[in-house]
Amino acid sequence: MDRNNSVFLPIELIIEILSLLSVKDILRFKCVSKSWNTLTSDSNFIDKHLKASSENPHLTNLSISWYQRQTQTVTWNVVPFPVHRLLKNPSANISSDDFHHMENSSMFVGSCNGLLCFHSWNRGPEPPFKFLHISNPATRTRSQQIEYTFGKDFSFTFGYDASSRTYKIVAFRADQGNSEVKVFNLGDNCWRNIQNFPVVPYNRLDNCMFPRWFNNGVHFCGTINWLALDKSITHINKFVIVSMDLSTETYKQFMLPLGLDEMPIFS
Amino acid sequence: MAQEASSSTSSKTISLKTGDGEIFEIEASAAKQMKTVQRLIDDLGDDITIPLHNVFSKELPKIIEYYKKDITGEITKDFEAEFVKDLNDDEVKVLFLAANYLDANKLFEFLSQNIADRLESKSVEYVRKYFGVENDFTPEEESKLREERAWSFRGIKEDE
Repeated sequence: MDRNNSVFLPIELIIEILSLLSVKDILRFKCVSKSWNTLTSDSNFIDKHLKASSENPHLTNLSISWYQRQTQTVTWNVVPFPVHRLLKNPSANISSDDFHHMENSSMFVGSCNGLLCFHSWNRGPEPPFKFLHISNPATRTRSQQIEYTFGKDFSFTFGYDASSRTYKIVAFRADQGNSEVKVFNLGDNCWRNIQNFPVVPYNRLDNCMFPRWFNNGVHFCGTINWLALDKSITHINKFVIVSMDLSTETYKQFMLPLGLDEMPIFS
Repeated sequence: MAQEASSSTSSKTISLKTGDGEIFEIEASAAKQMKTVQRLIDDLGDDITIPLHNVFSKELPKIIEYYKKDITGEITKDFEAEFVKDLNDDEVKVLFLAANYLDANKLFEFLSQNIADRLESKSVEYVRKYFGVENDFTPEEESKLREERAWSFRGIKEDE
């Protein structure tokens, strides 16, 4: 194909095209020039790219994480996998070049805008050192280790506050009548105590009915939502949803549709 | 003046005059898809030849061809592939600029995706040439950046 290159596109149109490329291509093209390096790091560009990729089936990726147990060691891996390939062919091969190996044992906490949050610990002779971290499988980068010193009965949820463009991890402890909530903003270096739940998230009916992570909170549109039991409105225990707004860090409560709010009775 | 029956507007044609003075006809319904043209029609009326200073006789017929297909039938993947098949890089860029000027959304999105496809997995040098961008990194700066993301340099296409 004959290639002359005398037509120049203005920067706004170049940005339109770049927002359609894969993350791998964009990261490589940061080497094109200093201005390309800067503009591809601009948060407006990143938002634009995120929006375009969520609308483009060719760029939507599934993150697959698994662990392999080999004798005494367990290796954790994550790989981003294009959804459209799975739709075309339900069985596919993944090149080990694309793996993102994780050095520690990890539990998946949540994902948001392509970022994955893990709760990790290292096994070893000393007491396990626990921390959280956020990884971006598309750019193959990860955040610093986020440590915490508050006990082990805390659960975690991961979410995004669009108004301040901050990713947040919510740590909470919900016992029978008692609860505590803390928030960590990615980029900060400390946890903050915030307002407590108005109604405590439903923990478990008894020790074997529901696993611990059953009600860790669902992230949706800048809020995190938990199922809770509330007696105050109808004097009978009814399920409600307690919803935390990530920008104001305050709560709202929602009633469930009739029929879905009854607490199951177990004999 | 008595209003004509509106059923005649569907076959109405608009005259467009390019920057280099040539005149082309387009259906009114196709012109509606190009917001810049529609705005000019709203301002100047649909009986006047609409001047398009930034679009030329080389590319306008191709744009008209695209929208003719859009209003009479479905634009298929095959049609789109055929549409860009013989265009070189400059020709695609000129069409892209024209679609932007004309605010012709469908064509603009199709061409941006087409250009993005042409750049997929290409080398840094290829992209510099394509956009006419000067490398203002020092050799040390550039090799540091490349090292930091060595994985993104794997599996790229050979330059022609």
